Amino acid sequence: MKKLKLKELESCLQQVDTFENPKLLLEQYPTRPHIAACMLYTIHNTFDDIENKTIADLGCGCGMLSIGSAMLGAGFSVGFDIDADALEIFNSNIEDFELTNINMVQCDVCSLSDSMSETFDTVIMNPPFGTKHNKGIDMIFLKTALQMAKTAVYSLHKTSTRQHIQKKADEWDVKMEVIAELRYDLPASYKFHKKRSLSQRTTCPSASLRVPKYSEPATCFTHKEAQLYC
Amino acid sequence: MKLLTHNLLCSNVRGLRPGGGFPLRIQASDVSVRPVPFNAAFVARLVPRLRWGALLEAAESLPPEPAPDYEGDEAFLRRVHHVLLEVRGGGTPKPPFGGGLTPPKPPLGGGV
Ligand SMILES: C[S@@+](CC[C@H](N)C(=O)[O-])C[C@H]1O[C@@H](n2cnc3c(N)ncnc32)[C@H](O)[C@@H]1O
Repeated sequence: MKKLKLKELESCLQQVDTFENPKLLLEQYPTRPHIAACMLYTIHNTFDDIENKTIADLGCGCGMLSIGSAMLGAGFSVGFDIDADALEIFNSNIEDFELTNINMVQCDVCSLSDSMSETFDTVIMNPPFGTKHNKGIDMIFLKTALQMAKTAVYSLHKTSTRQHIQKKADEWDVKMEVIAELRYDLPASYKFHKKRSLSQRTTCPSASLRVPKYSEPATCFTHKEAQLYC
Repeated sequence: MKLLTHNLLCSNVRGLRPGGGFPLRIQASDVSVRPVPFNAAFVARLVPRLRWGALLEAAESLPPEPAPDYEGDEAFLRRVHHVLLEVRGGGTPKPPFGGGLTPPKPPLGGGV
């Protein structure tokens, strides 16, 4: 497979269609192509957690992160989202890009916990933050992701929750690492950290969590309904 | 849904008996096949992690067990690749996660 450059990845991702009528209660806003590209590129180049890997994308929406992963050589990606309308757009994106190694499942991610352990190599997600209606959904996504991932979870979070996540990570016995700080409203101004201690990964008992963080206020609610999406 | 997705989703559901639960019975009329580029390294990595029993229930064309030297057995890997990634079934899986999943929706715009 031809190696994609960061700029190429970003311009491909600019072609990804996103939410037509975003449902604010589901916190439907896409990861911006620039952020998605930088995040995925780092996951790929620094941690080698994409190529030939099985990847889950929780709260996949229209598929920005799954599609980017596929472009970087993911073996297979599965997107999970509660919203059929978003998945329909995801599906047409897959058709447009002629990607063949992506599937999607319509379900409430909150109902997946406890059911799948280490099924996927990597989980990459931009979860709902649950700032208003469903406080804590970000942590449910994280916990579920950590159960599903064999190697690592990459997740975007609000800066203000970092300490809380660190506390939880300690509680869950996983290593958390902040790999990038993104300023959502100033896309050009963030920097991925240059130094990372990869050696620590091996001492980690279960999946490790790497959290590029950024800020974005949002609201959310969930319902207990789920469907397989073909 | 591709059989790989099905296999990943059912692979570690707690309380599942081997070969039981969440069976995907594929009806001939529901199946579509779409070519997917073959990636031997990826398929070889998958083999030891698959629930072979669940796969056999859906695809009789596979041997009862993975070939012993499957990593170098391209014909075998191609067959697994075909079943896992190219065949898409619209079967009705039983709820695997304590009722968490309900049967699939009707296919979208011609897909399965
Ligand atoms: C911030 S958006 C991210 C979309 C996409 N991952 C991206 O990066 O462009 C969060 C997504 O989570 C989905 N979502 C919200 N609550 C959910 C739940 N309980 N289960 C599954 N998906 C959910 C929303 O529909 C939305 O698509």
